[in-house]
Amino acid sequence: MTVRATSSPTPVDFDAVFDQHYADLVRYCRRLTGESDAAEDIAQESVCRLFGHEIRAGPADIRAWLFKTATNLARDRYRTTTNRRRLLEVHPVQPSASEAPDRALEREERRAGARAALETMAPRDREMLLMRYSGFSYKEIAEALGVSSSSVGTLLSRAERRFADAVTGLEVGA
Amino acid sequence: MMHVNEGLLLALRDGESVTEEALSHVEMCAVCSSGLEEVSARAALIREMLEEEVPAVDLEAAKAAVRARLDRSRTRSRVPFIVSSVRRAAAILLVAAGAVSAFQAPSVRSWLSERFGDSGATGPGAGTAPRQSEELQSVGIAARPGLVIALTGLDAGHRVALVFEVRDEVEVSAAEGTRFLIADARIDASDVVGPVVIRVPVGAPALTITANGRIMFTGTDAEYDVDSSGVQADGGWIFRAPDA
Ligand SMILES: [Zn+2]
Repeated sequence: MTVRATSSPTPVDFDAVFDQHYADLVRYCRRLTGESDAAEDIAQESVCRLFGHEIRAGPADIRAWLFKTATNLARDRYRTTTNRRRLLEVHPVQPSASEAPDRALEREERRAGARAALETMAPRDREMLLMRYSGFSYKEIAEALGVSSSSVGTLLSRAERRFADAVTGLEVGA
Repeated sequence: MMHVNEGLLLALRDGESVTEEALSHVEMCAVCSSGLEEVSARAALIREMLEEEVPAVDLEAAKAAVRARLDRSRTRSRVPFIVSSVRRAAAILLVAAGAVSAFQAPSVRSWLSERFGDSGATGPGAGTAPRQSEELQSVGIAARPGLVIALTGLDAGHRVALVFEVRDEVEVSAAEGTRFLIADARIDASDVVGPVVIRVPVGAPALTITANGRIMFTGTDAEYDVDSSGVQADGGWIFRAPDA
């Protein structure tokens, strides 16, 4: 008899966590911290903590739990926002062989602009924006960031405006 | 009704639940529907701004790094299995019994007591005459939740073997007097007296548990094969070992 355990707490499959969530988590952490080494470090620490933790529901909760933990770890690490290396400095533009250099440059400029804009934002606004654009529901965002579900729309709206304003401001200033 | 606020427009845009009243207002109101278009365009712009390649992540390297981290965090409270002789195994077992049982054994004992207490099976808390001691001794520590495998029906001269695909931590508890032989990817218990309890950690590599030469369990906590004598219980399985 072969048994696939489904009882609570849901067994957390080590490989599945990596296959399903790790790349997304690293990407989220990179946007959050603006630093790729720190991003991997935070992502790995989050996964480690997952295995010391009982997850009582399905995979969606694993994802939410990982992002929430990463958000908190990033917050702890960046209590001060000074000395944050820009990703651009670490990873200069490297157009792929199949892509025209000017197109790659344009894309890289847009990313750099987004990163710079994210840097100007208050941590919670940044977290709110990045969680939403990582596909989380308002309920999950509320739970992860410790705000009420009903306030997420308003807070997210403010975060989006600030991000859009920062992007425009940077473009004008450039 | 007044125009809906922007937070509500975002909720509408993002497919969150909104009241029927707000929904029908936006459908009817030119100001609000253009507001909805505006926040939708903003979302598309932000999505484009935030678009980034999936980072070139080396999954295998990340897994190895996480495994190393998990190992480091466990060594602080773990007794290693790797011993090269019976004599050293015995020494480590003594240390383990002292260091671990205070922390781990009570939960295992209560599990046994709960599971076996009213079933008439032999085990601590079953109301049967205790063996030399009701104390359980443990080797290894797995502080994480996992699958608990209990083997009953064991008696003097009976043997239990655990064979690991890759050595990983696993917690084995047996009544005092049971002798263990511990090797790199294998633990053998001979002269087993009373139940043996094995805790298979979450995410651990595959493990095979044999009682008197018959495979009782083989697999991981998430996917495994069990012997037909197995009875599933909350959090694990109970097997009755065949005669030696
Ligand atoms: Zn209106």
